[in-house]
Amino acid sequence: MAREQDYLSKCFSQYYAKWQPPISSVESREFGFGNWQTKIAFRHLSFPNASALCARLLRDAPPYVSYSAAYYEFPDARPMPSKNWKGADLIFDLDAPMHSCGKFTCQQCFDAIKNETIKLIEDFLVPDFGLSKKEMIVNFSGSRGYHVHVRSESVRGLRREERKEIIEYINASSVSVKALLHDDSAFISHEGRRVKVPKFYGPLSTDGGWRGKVARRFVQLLKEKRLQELGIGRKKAQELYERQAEAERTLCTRVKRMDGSACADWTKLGLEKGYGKMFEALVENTKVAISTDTDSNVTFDTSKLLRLPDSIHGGSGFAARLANDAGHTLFGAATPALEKFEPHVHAPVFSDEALKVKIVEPVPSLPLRDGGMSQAHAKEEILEVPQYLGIYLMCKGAALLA
Amino acid sequence: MDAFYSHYPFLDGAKSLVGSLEGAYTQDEIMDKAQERLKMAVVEGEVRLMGAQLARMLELDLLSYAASRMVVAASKNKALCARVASAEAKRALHYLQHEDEGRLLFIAHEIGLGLQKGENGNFSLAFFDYLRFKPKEEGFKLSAKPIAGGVVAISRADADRFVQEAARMKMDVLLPVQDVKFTPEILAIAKEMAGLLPKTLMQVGNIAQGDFPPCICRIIEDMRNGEHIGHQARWALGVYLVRSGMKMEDILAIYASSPQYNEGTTKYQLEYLRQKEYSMPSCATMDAYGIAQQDCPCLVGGERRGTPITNSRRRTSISYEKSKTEKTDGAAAEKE
Repeated sequence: MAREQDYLSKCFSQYYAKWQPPISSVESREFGFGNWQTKIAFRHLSFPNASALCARLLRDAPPYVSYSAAYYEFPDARPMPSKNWKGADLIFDLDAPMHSCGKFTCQQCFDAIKNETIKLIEDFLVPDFGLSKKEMIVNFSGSRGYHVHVRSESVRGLRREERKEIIEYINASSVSVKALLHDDSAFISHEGRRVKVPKFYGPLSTDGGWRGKVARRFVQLLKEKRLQELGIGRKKAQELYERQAEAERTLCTRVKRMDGSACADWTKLGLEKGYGKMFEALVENTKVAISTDTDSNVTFDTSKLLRLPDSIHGGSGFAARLANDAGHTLFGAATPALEKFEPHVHAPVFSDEALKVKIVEPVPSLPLRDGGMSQAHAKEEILEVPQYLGIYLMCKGAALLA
Repeated sequence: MDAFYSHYPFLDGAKSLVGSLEGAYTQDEIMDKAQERLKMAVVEGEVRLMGAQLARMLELDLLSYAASRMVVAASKNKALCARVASAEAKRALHYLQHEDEGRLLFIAHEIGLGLQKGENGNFSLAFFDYLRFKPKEEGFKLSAKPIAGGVVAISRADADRFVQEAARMKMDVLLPVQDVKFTPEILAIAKEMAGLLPKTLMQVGNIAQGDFPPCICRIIEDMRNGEHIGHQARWALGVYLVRSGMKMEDILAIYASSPQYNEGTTKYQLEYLRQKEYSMPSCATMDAYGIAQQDCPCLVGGERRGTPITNSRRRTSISYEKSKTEKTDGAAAEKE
């Protein structure tokens, strides 16, 4: 693998020859470089300005480059408290869960995690927290997901517990279904029998916070004919699709419960039973899938380093390209907004020149930069591929130089 | 004198009023009141409201607050500061609940809380203010509140709690007193108050605090009293608590009682201990450090045996005040 690593280092160095860091306050950030064995082999690095950082990347071409969301007075000081923390951006790290596609992340996984990232921004960060997209940068992680960096002054001083509260709001770990749905069902006597009269009150689609969120999500799934994702049977779902306008009106009509609180009468949707399970599914469908694992979550542990946007990811040879509405350009080519970002198309930054490689493990059919698909390849095959694809396969450990 | 600053003595406007009362009362009168006020705060967790509204009573009440702040500063004891701040904030809540909206908003803005008048008798807070001043109870979780456009709508009752919490945070800061020479009287009251701090029991993984060996108990007690804790004691305490399975936030809470506490440094060092999986030093080593205590079951026939962890299984003869939630079934100690 030494020959391949040399080749890759030369390619990465050429990439950094024309590169500029898309981050602010380089002099206040801590940096970390990785090698082929570990993503962060050295940290506590700092640079007085962007030029110094670029010069170092050109010289060393590390397979992995990370930086701190935090701003420090002395970013290269050790131990951590000596750096004198001055604040941090608010970071969200979304990764596609492991799937049968394994290390060759498939389009389905990429699409799913992109949708989660869009949901984070459009359903939470902007409408709930009042953050502006102009204060955010979004980049492909270089591997299986996206990073969202919120750089507004208002988030800089957030403490650990406050960042954790934000995550728990977004991933619904602090949401209680019992607080959203009220079962006011009662029993009455009818013809000598006890009959249950169901009565379920829930959020209005005009409510703020999670209440309104789940109600609006229900309306969205209703419009998109996806109610079966909530465990609603096909027949009942079809009835609701036919009564869509009436259902939407029900969820924005205020009724008062006995305690005086204003709700929507969800009983009128006619689901009869299973409201509790349906609401649990609705919360799952509405939340953003972000872990609260304290060992890995960069959102509330601001001492952690994360991939430097637009740097090369040594595990794929992809660049952690920016993808946002600001239309950041690199090498004269504009990167698309997140909705249109496709990792296999927009993340490879090397040429189409032919490169001869030998396949060392089976490779599935992969998306190409021009929108087409490559063929699948078996072990021992020797073939010519576009340089960017060859670099991808080498970084995945699936090919060697031939 | 208007009762306003007696009710909310933590407001900046109270300072000039205190200054104007200089010489109006004797030092003894003020310090007696301050001592009484502090004792209520530390022992009962609340400062009782004043019934009378006579000018003299209000003035002395205000001066006793100022004096109590000096006593807390002299103690350099963070746990004492936190306890008193919490008690004073509880007192303030009683008055806040009866204030008109205008006064509530004035008080909020004076202490840096951006509370705004909302609709239908409600109030609103900017999202980041909500996070910063949020009370710790479950009912204040962000997910339970109507938030839209970066603004959280809250009820009047919630608004009162936020102002209380903002007041508590304002008071939970030790005044900088490096160059101040305190009188022996102030220092004596400070020591007395620190000694009255409740010693609550916690469940530490599988080891209840009642099962802590004497050496560990002594380190924690010294820490709470603001005594200097040597590096070896601090390290041994960290290893003990980490190996006991205690949650990091609970361990930090113990260290936070030290006036020298620095969260970043402590957390970094504890994480390092946890990752390196250091073993607990033996009781013989603790003795060599000068940390072991005489009344410990590890001392058998003049020899120290075992480690603080293994000796946690045996109850010592030292009794501690029990919290209301103490479990008495005797949890098993962790195996080494």
